Amino acid sequence: MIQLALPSLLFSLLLLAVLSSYILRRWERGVSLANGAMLGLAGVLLWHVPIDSPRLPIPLIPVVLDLRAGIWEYGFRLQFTQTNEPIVVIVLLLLGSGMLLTAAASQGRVFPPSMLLVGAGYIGVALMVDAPISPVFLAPASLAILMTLSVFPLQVGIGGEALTSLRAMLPPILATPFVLLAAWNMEQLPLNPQDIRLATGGAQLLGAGLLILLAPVPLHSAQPQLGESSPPIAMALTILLYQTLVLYLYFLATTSIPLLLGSTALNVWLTSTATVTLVWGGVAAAAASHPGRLLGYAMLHDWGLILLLLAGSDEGSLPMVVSLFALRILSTMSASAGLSQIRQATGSLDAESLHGVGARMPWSTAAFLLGSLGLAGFPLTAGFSGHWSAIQALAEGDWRFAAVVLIASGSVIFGFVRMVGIFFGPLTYPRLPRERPLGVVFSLVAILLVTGMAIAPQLFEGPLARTLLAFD
Amino acid sequence: MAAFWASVPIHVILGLAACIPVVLWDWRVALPGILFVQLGTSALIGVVYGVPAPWPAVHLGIQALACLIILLSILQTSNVQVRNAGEFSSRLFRLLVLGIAALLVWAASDRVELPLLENATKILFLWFAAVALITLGVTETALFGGVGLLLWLIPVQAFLSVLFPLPAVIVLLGILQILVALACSFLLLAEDDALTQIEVPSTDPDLAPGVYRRHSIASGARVLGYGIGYWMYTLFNRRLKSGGRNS
Repeated sequence: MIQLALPSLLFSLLLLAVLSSYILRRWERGVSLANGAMLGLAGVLLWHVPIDSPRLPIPLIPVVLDLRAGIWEYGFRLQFTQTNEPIVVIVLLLLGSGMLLTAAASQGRVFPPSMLLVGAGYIGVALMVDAPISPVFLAPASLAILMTLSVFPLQVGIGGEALTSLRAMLPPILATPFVLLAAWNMEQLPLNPQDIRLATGGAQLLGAGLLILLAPVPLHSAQPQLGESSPPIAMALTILLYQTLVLYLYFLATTSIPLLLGSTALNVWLTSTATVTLVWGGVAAAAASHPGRLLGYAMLHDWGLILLLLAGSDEGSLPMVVSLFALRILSTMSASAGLSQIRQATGSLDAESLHGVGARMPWSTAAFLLGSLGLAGFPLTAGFSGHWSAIQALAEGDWRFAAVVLIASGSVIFGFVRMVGIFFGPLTYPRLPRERPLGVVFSLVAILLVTGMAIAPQLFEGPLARTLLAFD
Repeated sequence: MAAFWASVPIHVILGLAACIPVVLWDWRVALPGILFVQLGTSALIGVVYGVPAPWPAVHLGIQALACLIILLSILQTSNVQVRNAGEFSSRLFRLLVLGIAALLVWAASDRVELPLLENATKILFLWFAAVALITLGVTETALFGGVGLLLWLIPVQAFLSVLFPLPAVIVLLGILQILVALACSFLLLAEDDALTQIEVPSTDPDLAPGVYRRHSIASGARVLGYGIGYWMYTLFNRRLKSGGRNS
């Protein structure tokens, strides 16, 4: 029997998915369905199998899987641990759902392999537990590499505005020197324990690096612009994968370096920039007429709220951050599932070509609207419970923050009311095709998930508790 | 030798070389300018700061490769706007911004600590970073976005090589540099509307009726061979045309 470490199995699966989706790209739909099902199944199994379980035999092949074994190459150790387990599972589920959605609405033939390659990189960063420099400090450079690679799935199959993709890779590239300089300061600390400047300087540099990585205003521009110029699923996956890893990095850094919150102004900066971010997301959403851009601004507003809670940095805010982010993933994927169907049918997301599309494509439109409104915390959508808890928590501290969030959320909802007017107006193109069966199935699943989470948010308590346990 | 590279005039020359691409805003100056800055920086960290022998040469090699990748895309674009335009501002405005940035760098240099670096080198690296940020701030094209990012990575790579002369860090940043060049050259082609309409992506096996591949492997090799000559020709040609207009 061959003994296989989990990272080796994961990379083998991803390599198989990359190669199959590239070589068999003519049969994009079938290959994407198979790869999506495989990755989704891998994510679900990883979540359900206890990490300390004995070696697991893999059916049909003479291989025994060791969940706790790591791989060690070139000074980097990759290992599946309780801490990185939720991140690896989220990345696998995101990739799986992205591939499944691609089967219904193509994002370009080279999109699946390039996105899977980027996803494999994110799994590698999450699994990294040891490196020549502490993984916390090396992660921004790895994120910069992955965001640079993300340009390919974002831009593939479309021409025109290219600077947007370039803007998306700026934050990790700009943050890298700050964080690595912080690493040098921290490494010198044992040699000069009396030098308090090294510790505070290192913490300040790390704080600055993290702030840049989190990309609040004014580093936010890629998010709404990608919404407008990139295929919806590519945009959603790129932004969500990056933000998942950045939040994980933030938790790792604040847990392992207590000075980060104690001796820096990170929370002050985060509070002010997060407030501006969520307000700007709301104001700009009210004026947006492009559904992709509108989704981008709704995501920006939601991200601002998450950052605002992150700045709270007390024990009570951590569950809310994790919960809001999980609901954000659900809402965004639902919205992008619907929007990608609409884009495929109309050929463009310009407002002129979308008049009346709601009557011809009701399920896709509903998936898009319910998902997007969840990002603004609209009642009866997935995001409502998270937003409601967040607003209550903010109001307990300072009611003005809660008021600002409410007004900004109202502004986002106003933007979507205008969009509803466009979607359900008179039909511009009577020959617009009806929804495809596979698209209807995925839209229905998205609607069920989004409304299910709205009606019974307690379903999410188990995974949330386990994720929090992993971060503690 | 170390005294020569550590001297202030060398630092001033490198600083001026870094800002020339921003002032002239022309790829024919920008790419050689980046290579010149990289050459000087590699020599500086190798001779003055004792970064082990292969790494400064590796930095230079990677930068040359990055510039070549971007050059190939520039030569493939049919859209003249992609190559030369995209400047957000007038030359006078950019000079003014550079002047303000120089004052800010000078004022901030006392408060910024870059360990293991001498004061002159510290100011030089801060200046490189400032010029890179200005380039990224005023550009509207992937070409000068790429130039700005490569310029940003020169001091980052050099400084981190001094701090951490570890192969893992140097290789990781080298990979980033090459990927930045690849991404920008890809975006350069993607933003050329004329090219994306005519050209079929090489990964797509289907050629639409009436569409043909303009650029084969042979034409790629020709582009590589004639690259430098083409660069000289267009520079010379442009001079003649602008001279004619002025007279």
